[in-house]
Amino acid sequence: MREITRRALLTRGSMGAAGAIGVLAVPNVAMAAMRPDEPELTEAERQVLAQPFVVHLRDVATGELELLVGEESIVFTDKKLVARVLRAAR
Amino acid sequence: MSSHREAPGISKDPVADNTDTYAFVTPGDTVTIVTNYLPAQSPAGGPNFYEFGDDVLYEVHVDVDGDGRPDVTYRFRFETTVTNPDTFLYNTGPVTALDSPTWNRRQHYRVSRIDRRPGRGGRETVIAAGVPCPPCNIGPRSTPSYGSLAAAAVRALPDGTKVFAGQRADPFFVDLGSVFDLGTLRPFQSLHLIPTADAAGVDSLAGANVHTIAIQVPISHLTRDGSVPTDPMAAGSVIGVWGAASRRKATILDQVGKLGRGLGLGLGALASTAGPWVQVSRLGNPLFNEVVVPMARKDRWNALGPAHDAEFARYVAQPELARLLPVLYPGAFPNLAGLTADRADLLAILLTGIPAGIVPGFQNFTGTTQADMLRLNVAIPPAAAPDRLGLLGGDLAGFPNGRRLTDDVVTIELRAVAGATYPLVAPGYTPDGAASLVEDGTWSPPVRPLLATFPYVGLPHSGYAVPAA
Repeated sequence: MREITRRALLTRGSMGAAGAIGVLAVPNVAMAAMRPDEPELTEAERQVLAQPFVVHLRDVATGELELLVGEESIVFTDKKLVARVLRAAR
Repeated sequence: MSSHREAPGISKDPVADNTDTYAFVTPGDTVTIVTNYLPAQSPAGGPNFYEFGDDVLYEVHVDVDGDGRPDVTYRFRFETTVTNPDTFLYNTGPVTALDSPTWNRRQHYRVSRIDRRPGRGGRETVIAAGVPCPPCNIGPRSTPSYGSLAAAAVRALPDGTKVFAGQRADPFFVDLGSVFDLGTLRPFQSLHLIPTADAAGVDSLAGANVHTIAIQVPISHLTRDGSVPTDPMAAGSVIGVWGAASRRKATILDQVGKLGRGLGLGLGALASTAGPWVQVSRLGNPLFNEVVVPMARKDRWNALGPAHDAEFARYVAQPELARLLPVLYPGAFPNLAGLTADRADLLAILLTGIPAGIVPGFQNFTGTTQADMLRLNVAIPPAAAPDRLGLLGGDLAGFPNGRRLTDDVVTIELRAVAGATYPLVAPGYTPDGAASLVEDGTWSPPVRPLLATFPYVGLPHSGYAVPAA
């Protein structure tokens, strides 16, 4: 499993966005996922989030996450992201 | 019930609850498939009358090669619209046409087809869009001339396919009140372990509606090689059919206006959904999940496809009901009580189809893959005088060769489990006399007023005529 960057994650998400039906505010989880060295989102990238977009933390121990967007499920592993999410939730 | 509220999970989600699936050969070299949802509707269910789920994916699957996996799939997706957001009423005047402005809350649907047969590409293709559902049958003032109003909702497509989706009278008949009271069969309850005087069966669903998705398809669209088979003994004459409903993997509830599509659309207005579709209900053979699969495994069964049904085969081979009958009716089933071998007859009927050589002139065998599907031999034409007992009554066009709306599947399966079909695989076995007599007593023609043409399922009961209990 590779670590997925927020930008790559959004790009993958946009590929499966055809079936999206609603509007979901940018979740705090996504903000927590931001890397310090990663540039701010462009307006076009922000538009990708104008749809249901759910990140499911499947396994804390392995750092396995599942991105649910459109009709797709994208599974990836990012232990650092999981750690940031968990700390954000405290 | 055949599959009405048959599992703990789906019993809490009626919009996605597949109650029955039917598949039968119809005139013009076509097959009609009916899948019903939203069980046990009280016709007087206003002001929020029953409707399909915008957030549910409804599917009809057909297997052409016996592997228990779909080769042809029809998908139905619904969309609800509200004409007047400022009234609580379903209709503000008589609904006389499907575009009547007095009808306030209506549904349209889209049908797509995925053809995974060899050389067909396997891509999803929309074959109909914007098809209207009829309104629910409210009463003589709101939905006058309901028959013609609903008939206008039958859509004929250029390729010979017909579709219909909307409220209907539930064609399934069963005495629920008795069968789930410790297996009581009213006509024979004097023989029950806790006896009372014999009585006529009570059809628990006689006044109930369901929501029907019906599709009539040219046979050539559903066979392995695109032909219209004429030889019932040819392997390519048999197709497997089942219905399924799915929901998106994630649902998020939030404030109206912040998420969702707008006002007044039920769960869709409050919810956002995301992720792939996850199956929550399916149905092939009637009563399979209802009375064969143990309660603790029913939800899992609903989430799987037929290709995985080998893990449930032991419940078919050693059905719990076959062990209960001799206990509940002492002395009535001595031979069944002594029958301890695996039930190869039931395994064939429900999971592989009946091979050639068992019933003269008939087979619906799909191979060794154990999969719960309706197996329909499309080379067998409709019967001129259908027998309610189907194959058990010598009528090759009836259940378990597919399933017709009039087939008395409760009696057929009850008798089969009781041992009536075991001699097909063990000629030395003598069924108990009771095995060919047991029934719940709800069949009395005409059990349901059906239509002579597609979608065949009868008009829904009117809310005015059948007030809520």
